[in-house]
Amino acid sequence: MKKISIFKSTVQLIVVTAIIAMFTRCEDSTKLQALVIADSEEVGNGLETILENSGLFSTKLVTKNPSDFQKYDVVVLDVAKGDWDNNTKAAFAEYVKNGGASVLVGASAVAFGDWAEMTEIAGTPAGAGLVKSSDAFEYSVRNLKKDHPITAGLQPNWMHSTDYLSFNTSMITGQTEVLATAWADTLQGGDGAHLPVMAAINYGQGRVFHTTLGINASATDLTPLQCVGFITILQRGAEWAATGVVSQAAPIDFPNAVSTHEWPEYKPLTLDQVLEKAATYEVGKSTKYLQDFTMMIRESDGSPETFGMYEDKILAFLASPASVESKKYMCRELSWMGSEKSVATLEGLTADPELGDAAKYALARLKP
Amino acid sequence: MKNNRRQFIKKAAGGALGIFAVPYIIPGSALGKNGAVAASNRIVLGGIGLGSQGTWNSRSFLEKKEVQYVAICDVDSAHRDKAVSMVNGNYKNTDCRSYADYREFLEKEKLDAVTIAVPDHWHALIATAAANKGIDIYGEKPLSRSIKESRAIVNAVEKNKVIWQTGSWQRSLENFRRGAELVINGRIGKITHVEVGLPNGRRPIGTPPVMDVPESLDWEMWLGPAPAVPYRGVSHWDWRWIMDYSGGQLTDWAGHHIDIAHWGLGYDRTGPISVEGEGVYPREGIFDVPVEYDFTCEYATGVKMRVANSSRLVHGMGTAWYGDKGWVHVDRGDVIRTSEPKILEEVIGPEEIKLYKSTDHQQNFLDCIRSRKETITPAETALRSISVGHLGEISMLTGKKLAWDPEKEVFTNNEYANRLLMRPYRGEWKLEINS
Repeated sequence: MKKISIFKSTVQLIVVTAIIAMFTRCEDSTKLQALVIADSEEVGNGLETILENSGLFSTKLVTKNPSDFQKYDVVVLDVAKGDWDNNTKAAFAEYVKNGGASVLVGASAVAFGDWAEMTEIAGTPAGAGLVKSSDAFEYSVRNLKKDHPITAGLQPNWMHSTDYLSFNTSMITGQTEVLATAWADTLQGGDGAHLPVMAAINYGQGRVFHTTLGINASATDLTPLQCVGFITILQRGAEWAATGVVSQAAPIDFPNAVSTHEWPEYKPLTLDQVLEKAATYEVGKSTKYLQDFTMMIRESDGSPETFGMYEDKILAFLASPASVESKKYMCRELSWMGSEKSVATLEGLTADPELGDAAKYALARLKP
Repeated sequence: MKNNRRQFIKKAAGGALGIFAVPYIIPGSALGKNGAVAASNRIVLGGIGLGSQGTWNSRSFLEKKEVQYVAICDVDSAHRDKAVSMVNGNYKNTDCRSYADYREFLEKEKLDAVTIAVPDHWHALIATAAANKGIDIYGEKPLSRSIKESRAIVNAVEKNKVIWQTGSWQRSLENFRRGAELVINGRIGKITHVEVGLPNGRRPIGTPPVMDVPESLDWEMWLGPAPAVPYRGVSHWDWRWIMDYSGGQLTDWAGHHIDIAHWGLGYDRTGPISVEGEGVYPREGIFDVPVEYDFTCEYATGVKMRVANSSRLVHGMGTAWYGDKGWVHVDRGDVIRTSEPKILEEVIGPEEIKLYKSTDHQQNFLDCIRSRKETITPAETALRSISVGHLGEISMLTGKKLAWDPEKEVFTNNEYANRLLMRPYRGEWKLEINS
C-alpha cells in the first residue's frame, strides 16, 4: 500500500515538474529563480553562492519584507526571528500551497512563533519547539532514505561540520518524510536518540525541504554553511523543491562517516588548489587534501591518458618545495598509478635520506 | 631440513592409520589425548608472536598433553617474559627457551610445529621460513597481507609438505558447520547470493605524538618489511588500523565469515571473477584503513557475494546465504537462523555431502600432524578466504570494477590493480613467492 502511494506521488511530482520546467523556461532564461531570505547579508550571500554554484539557480537576497513569492521557483528561508506581517505570512502560505517551493534552513520553522500554517509547511506539529544543543560540535548525520532524490547516492553516514544540533520536537505530520537524523547523546535526557534533521514535506501542491542543519551560521561564523554535506543538501533540496527531481551528483569529497569536509568558497577546490593545500601536509594534520587528490584519481576514468595527467602533477609536486610527508604520500600514489615516466625521478630520489624509502617503495611496483 | 623427531611422528601416524583406517581424523584417545603421552611421542611446539592472540593459542596448546611446548619468540621482551612464565608455570620447570629473532628461533630449535600470531605484514616471511624448515604451522588468519604473499605461503607449505592450520576456528564450531552443510546440500535451493557482515571500522584516534620506544620492544624488527616510521605507541593490537600492517576489520574478519561463506558454497579452491565496491577512509589521524566498506564479488557460477561492515546489512554480522528456497544465517554466539524453521530440522543423508568435522581447532591440527592429512582450514583455503578481502580492498583503492582470474590470480582488465597484489618490502627483506 505504502509503496503504491509513493509511486503515485512520484508520478504526480514528475507531472508537476514537467509543468514547472516548461513554465520556468518560458518565464526566464535557463535558470531556476530563487529568493533567499536571511537575517544577515553574510549568511544570505553564503546561501546565494551555494545555490548559484550549482549552476541551476539565479538568486535574489532580501533581509526584510519579502514579497512577490510567486515570481520565484523556490523560496529559501534562513531566519532566526521572523517579523513578517500577517499579509506576508498569508502570501507565503498561499504561494507554497499553490505549487510553490520552499527550503527552510536552521530555525526558520519556529522563527515566527505561533503561526499555524508554518507548522504544516515545516512538517512540525503545532506548539512544537526547537531544541538546541548547548554547544556547537561536529556530529554524524544518518541518511534514512536511499531512494529519495535529495539523499540518493550520498554516504549513509556523514559528519556535519561544527554546528548546533537542533531539531523540532517532532518532525512528523501526515505529509512529512524524514530523510535524515542525527545522533544526539545528551539532548534527550542523556539516553541518546536519533533526531530528525532533514525532512521533505508536501504542503498543498507545494514541496518543502526542511533542514535544521546550518542553524549556527552567522555573520561571524559561516562554518556550518561551508560543510560540503550542507552545501550538497541545500543545492539538492532546493532543486527537488522547485522541480521534484534532482540532477546533481554527489561530490567526490562528500563528508564521510568519520570526517567533516568544508568548501570555504562553497565550491569544490580545483585540482591545483587541492595540490597546493596538500603540499603543507605534516603527520598529525588532516589528510583530507591528499585524499581529495586520491579520490580524483580513483573516480577518474582510469585511462592511461588521465593517469598520465595526474602523474605529471605528481612529478611536478615532487620537484616542488612541498613537505616531505606529502611527497611520501605522492610516492605511494605513483606506486600504483604511475608509469615508466616516473622511474627516472624516483630513481633520483632513492638516495634521498628522507624520501629514499618511499621512492624505492614506488619503484618496487613500477619496476618489478 | 626435516628433523628426526618429525620423521618419527610421521611413521607412527602411518602405522596408526594402517590399523584403524580412519579417514581424516585419528581418534585422540588412541594417541592418549587425555592421558599421559610419552615424551618421545609428544609434538614439540614453539610459538612466534606472544601478544594477545598468540598467548590465547599457546594456552590452548599447553592444555594438550601430547604437546611439549619448548620455546617462544617475540620482538617484545615483555611478551617474552610473560610467555616464558606461562609455559614454565604449566610444566612447573624452567625449560622454556626464549628468542627475539624468529630466524635464530627456527634455526636453533628442533620443532615439529609452530604457532604463529604476528601482525599481518609479517605473516609471509615468518610462515615461509618455518615451512622451509619443514615445520608444521598453526598460523593466524588472515593468511597474509596481500594476495602474492598468500601465494608464497601456500607454495612453501605445499612444496615442503608441511601441515597448515589457519586460525579460522569458526569452522570447528557446530553452528557454522551445520549452516554450511545445509547450504552445500541445497536445503535453501540454488544459491543466488551471500551477504557477509564484518565489524564496523574502528573510529580514528587522531595522531599520537612520537614517543620513546619502550625498552622492551625492538621497533625496527617489529616494522620489519613495512615502511619505517617513528614509534607513536601503536604496535600491539592497534596495528590493525594501519594499512601498512593490516587491512582493518575487513581483512581481520575475512578469514572468519568469508571463510564460512566459501565453505557453504564449496569455493575453498576458487575465487571470484569480478569485484566492485566502495570504502570510506578516515581523513584525520594515523589510522587509514576503511571505517566503512561495501563491495560485491561475482563468481563464475553467477553467485554474488556482498561484503560490508555489518551496519549496512540486514542480518548484521555473520554469513547469510540466500537461495531460491530460503536463507541461512550463521554468526558467533551459536547463531544459526533460517527463513523457515523446518530447514533447521533437515537431516543430511548418507549419500550427501558431509563437511569436514572438527570440534576442537587446535586438536584438529595436532591430529593432522600425526595423520599427515589436511586440516579443516588448510593454506589454500585460507588464501581463497582472505583473497576476497584483498580483492575488495583493491577494488576500493582503485575505485574500479575489476575482472579477476582466480586461476592465474591476476586482474584481467586493469594493470594498475595488479600492482596492488603485493606490498613492497623495505630494505633487505625479500620474500620468495615461488619457493
